[in-house]
Amino acid sequence: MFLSELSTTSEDDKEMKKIRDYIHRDITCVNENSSLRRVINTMKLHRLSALPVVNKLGEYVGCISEQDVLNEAIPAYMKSMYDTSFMAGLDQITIHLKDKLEHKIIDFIDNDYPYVSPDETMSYAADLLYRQKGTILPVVEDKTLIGLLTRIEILSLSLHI
Amino acid sequence: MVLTVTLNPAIDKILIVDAFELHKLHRLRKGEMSMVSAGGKGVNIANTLNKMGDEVIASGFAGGHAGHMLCDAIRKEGITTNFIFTQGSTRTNISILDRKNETLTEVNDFGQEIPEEDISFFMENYERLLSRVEIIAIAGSLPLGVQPDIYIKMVGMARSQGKKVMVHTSPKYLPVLMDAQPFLINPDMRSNHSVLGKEVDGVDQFISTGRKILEKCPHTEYIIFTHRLENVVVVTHKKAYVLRPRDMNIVNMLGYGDAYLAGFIHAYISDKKEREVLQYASAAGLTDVEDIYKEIQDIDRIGENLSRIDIEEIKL
Repeated sequence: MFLSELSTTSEDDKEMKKIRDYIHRDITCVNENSSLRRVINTMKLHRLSALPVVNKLGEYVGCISEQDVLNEAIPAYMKSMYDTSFMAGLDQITIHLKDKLEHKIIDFIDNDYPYVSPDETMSYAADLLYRQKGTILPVVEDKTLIGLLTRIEILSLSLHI
Repeated sequence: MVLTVTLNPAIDKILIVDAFELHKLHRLRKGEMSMVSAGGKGVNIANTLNKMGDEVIASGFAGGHAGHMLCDAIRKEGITTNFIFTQGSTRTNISILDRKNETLTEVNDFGQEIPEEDISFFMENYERLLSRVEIIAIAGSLPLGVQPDIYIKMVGMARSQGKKVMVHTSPKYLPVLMDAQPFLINPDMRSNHSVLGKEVDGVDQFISTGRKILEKCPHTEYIIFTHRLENVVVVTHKKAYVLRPRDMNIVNMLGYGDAYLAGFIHAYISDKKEREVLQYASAAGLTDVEDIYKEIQDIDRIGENLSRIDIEEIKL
């Protein structure tokens, strides 16, 4: 059963916690034409494991996560090896990645990455985060990024019941 | 929505130490205080606007642990943050307020150096943000690595999207600001009284300097000299105004200029008439200096103080 179904049966709609009240109001993002270098640097300095991506008009288009970058970093031939004991040294991954640092991220973006609107419920967001195994959820209103929800925001709800 | 730009923000540490002395170890006693808050002129403006009920995005450069502290503190107030993080660390500014000797000692760090590629990332981000806001307030000093011509680029981008920019910074940047021609220029004359190579003080000199600047700046609508609280001088293309608060009881000058500009922006976007905008801005400044905190605690007091602002209109 999904978490969202659990809560709709137990709570009155008015009492449901709305995403709007829990948004981490930071709109750090990258552009589709940003380089992979910029993405890695931004993730590191902002301490974020995924970044929302916007187009030139500032409209939300998707996300790029550490996992997406790692997928690009691993040479294709390695991906066919399921056992890590076949993996060559770390060097091969980092050198492969270094060659791609100036690439535009437009081809690496996850355009199907889930996002939420501020009027949806926190249980819906919790459900999405749980099923998608994502670490952040962009909050989007009329195509505009207005903030994020992170796992810890949802977990820390339990501290205040 | 208002966008504030603080290129060189800071963590403000305010120590209230009565009978402060050099060469002495001070331990804070009861009644003395140590306050840490997010600072930098644009950040202060964002905080006050937010208290006034306006929606704000705070942007600029930040870095390191102090940068995260800064952004956390801003978001805690309910403001959206969009700082570009760089390798260096956000600075800490220290103010020591001595109520007994009535002295204020300030040490402002120079802050992080911004690499070229972070400046271009910032500008790309800034241009995108413009579509979401009506007013842009650029306030404070420039960090190392950022050239003054950034004002020309930022004001130009905003103007091409029909957005108004207000700039509150040192008068040493006036030549470049006269190229940029933002909607409003409010020179920050706390440590520099020289305007275009001349020492300027007194109502008459402020008015004539303001007129000289405006003659060369058709796009600029306001030059505001807030340096003398007892005589705030506002120059427009048609008129000048002198605003005088009555019976001022100055407790703490910190944050005065920022409160003034926040008041101006708030009244301006509430579509008030010019005179009312100026009176509200002065009342915000007055309210700020009359308590110990660097920001206005009780916004309602601005309204109560409106009647204490006399306004003189001079036709030019």
